[in-house]
Amino acid sequence: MTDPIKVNYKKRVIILFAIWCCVLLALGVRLGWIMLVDGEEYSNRAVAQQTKDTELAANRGYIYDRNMKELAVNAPTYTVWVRPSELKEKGGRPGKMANLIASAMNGDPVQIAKSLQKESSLVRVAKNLDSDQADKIRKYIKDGRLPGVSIDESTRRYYPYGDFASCVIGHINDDGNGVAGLELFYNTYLSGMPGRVIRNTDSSGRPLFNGTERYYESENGLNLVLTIDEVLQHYLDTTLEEAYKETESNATMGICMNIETGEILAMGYYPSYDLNEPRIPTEEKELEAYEELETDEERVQYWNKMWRNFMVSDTYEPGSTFKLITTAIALEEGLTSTAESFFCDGAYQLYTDTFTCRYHGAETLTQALENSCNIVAITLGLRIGATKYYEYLDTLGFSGITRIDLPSETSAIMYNPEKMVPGELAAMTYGQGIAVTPIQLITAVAAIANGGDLVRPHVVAEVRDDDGQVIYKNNTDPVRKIFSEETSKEMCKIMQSVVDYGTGKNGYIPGYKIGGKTGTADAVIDGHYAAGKVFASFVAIAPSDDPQIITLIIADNPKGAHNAGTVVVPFVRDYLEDALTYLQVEPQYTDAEKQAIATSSVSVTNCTGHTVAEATQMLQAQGLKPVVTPNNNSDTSLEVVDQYPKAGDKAKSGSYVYIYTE
Amino acid sequence: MDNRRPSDKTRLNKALEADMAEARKNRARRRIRNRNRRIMFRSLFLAGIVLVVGLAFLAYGSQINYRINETEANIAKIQNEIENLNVEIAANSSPEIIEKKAMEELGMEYPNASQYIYLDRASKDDVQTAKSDD
Repeated sequence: MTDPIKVNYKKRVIILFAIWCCVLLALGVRLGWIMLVDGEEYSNRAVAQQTKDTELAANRGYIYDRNMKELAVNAPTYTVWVRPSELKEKGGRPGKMANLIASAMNGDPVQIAKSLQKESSLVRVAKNLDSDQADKIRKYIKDGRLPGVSIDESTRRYYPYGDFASCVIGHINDDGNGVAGLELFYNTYLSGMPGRVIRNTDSSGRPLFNGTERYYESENGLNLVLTIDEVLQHYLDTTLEEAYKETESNATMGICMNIETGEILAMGYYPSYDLNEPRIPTEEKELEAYEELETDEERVQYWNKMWRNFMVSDTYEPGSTFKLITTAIALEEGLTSTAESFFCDGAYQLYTDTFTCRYHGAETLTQALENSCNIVAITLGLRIGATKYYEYLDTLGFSGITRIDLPSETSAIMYNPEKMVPGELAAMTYGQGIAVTPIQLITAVAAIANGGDLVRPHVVAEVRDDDGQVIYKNNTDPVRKIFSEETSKEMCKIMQSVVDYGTGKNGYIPGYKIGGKTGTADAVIDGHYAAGKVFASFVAIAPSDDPQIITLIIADNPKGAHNAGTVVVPFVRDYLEDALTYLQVEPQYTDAEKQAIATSSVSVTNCTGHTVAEATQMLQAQGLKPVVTPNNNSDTSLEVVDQYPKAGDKAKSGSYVYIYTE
Repeated sequence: MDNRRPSDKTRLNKALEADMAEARKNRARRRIRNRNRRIMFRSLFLAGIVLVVGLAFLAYGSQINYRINETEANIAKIQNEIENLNVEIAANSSPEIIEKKAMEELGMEYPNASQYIYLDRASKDDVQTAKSDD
């Protein structure tokens, strides 16, 4: 007899076994499902959780002047961050912490306290700290006095010369992208490509020791080498500042360009701003005006105006400087010659319009430009005719843009040639009724004076990589030929006589041949000519027998004396004096000029052997300034053993003479 | 002793010999055991020393590693300072600052016209002559 208990037992075991098998099978199927069907999804999620993909910032390219002086660089900087939630968790006291941080970096504790309590997960407390300030704060963090606060190292853009060629270089915003000037125009070249690092991390995001790592290197941005010369730029900036202050203009601006290649050697605008603090104007009056602005809207408007490059993005009516173009066209078309004589009686009647001018009487073509005669300009313009005139304006680049490598270039504003009336053409011949950008004007006059070639003005000479290899070079070949060599030579002679005998007299520099043309044009404000407001300008070529550089300076609304001859020309002369010396152009003095120099300097008397007191008296009697070296010795009875300049050498009146005691 | 039967004697002797043999074996075993223990202790001792020395090396190694890391961090920090100083140098080389320092602190002046000497650049021929002179 079988044991009933055993049979039941056996059955139960079998049943349990069967159930167990089913469960295992189910698990097996589930496992297979997870691995085969959902496998990819899960492994992707695991990878995402276990790896950290960090971006490696690329270094922004540097900007250099033509002699490789650094104008825009990157400097390592420290930024202070806070996680307000962590701060609260760890029981930090925002007030005390803010005072601590403020004391370490000379900051505003109220502002810092606000940042520490903001409702965000991550807040930037302060940026652009130097390493000493960062060290102090790091110590506080280590001591546990700043919970939730961390310091991050990054780089910032720095402009070593501060307020220098600001309208050309421009600046970047907090995201590292250019906002104005070259930083904007060449932003793609300068930015480079960020790299990536992909690493295995643990649950708190720290990289694993033995994990795999994939490293994609960042590509640094490319560097710009400009055509700008820092010395010429400095001379121009100084001149513009002086002109602004003396003439009380709204603004002064200038361009100095290589007349053959279109390389811009200097371009400045005053009042300006420090590129390291681009929101704050540097000039006193402007700063006052800025601080009075109340709404953000007003401020944004102010900044946009400050960051705009007038010479490229805004137009002005050029006035009489445009007569150069009218005359050149007439000469080129054979419609006049330097031998022709004209008569100016002060008025020109054209149908219903009367154009006035100063009374000049009988004058040759050259004299007409020396006098800046409107009547002659109108006469020539009518001979040329609207169609031909506009053809030349087109080839000279006024109907388009010069394609200078600066952002937001705009084009000239001209009458529609098909709807124009003769009176409007007449006004254009002497530069009113047409509005051009300063860069267009200087390029057109350059085409007249350099032998007839239109060049493309540009600010960047080369784009280079970090190894110095040239990646891109700006073409310096002329764009097209417009005037013949003959016309150009004649125009240069005419411009020379404007400075020798005409409205440009104040531009005379002994030893140098300067040519130019003045222009005093009524300003247009809101579509009307504004009474009493002018743009005074002077465009100059040097040396006029073989022009190398062309300079244009414009004063926006000078107060007091208006005409360019007194207001702008002397500053152009000051600039050219310094510039031509720097460019090592040798002066050729006429006998009369040599004489004048001789009388303005004295032959230094012999001081050696005399006492300091005697030597000082003698030198002062000569109109010189004695300087005693070493000057910590105030004993005036010491004997003079040496001097510079030596006895008998020429020294300019009012200059220093060094006398040496033992 | 002679009272005992001869078979008893041999049995005794055998037992004695067996005992003695066993004692000998035991002694030998003990000796081996002791020797094994000694070997084990000695090798453990050696192993211990090797371990300690190894640990010492490791400690030294990680200490050096730590110093390396520290030095590298220092290097990076100093590189940053160098870069910042370079920037300061560049900032102080602006023509404006140089002009100001030269004129105000050193009493220098721009030379006047009569103090310039103009030299003609060497012509190409001069340069070639110089080359062939070596």
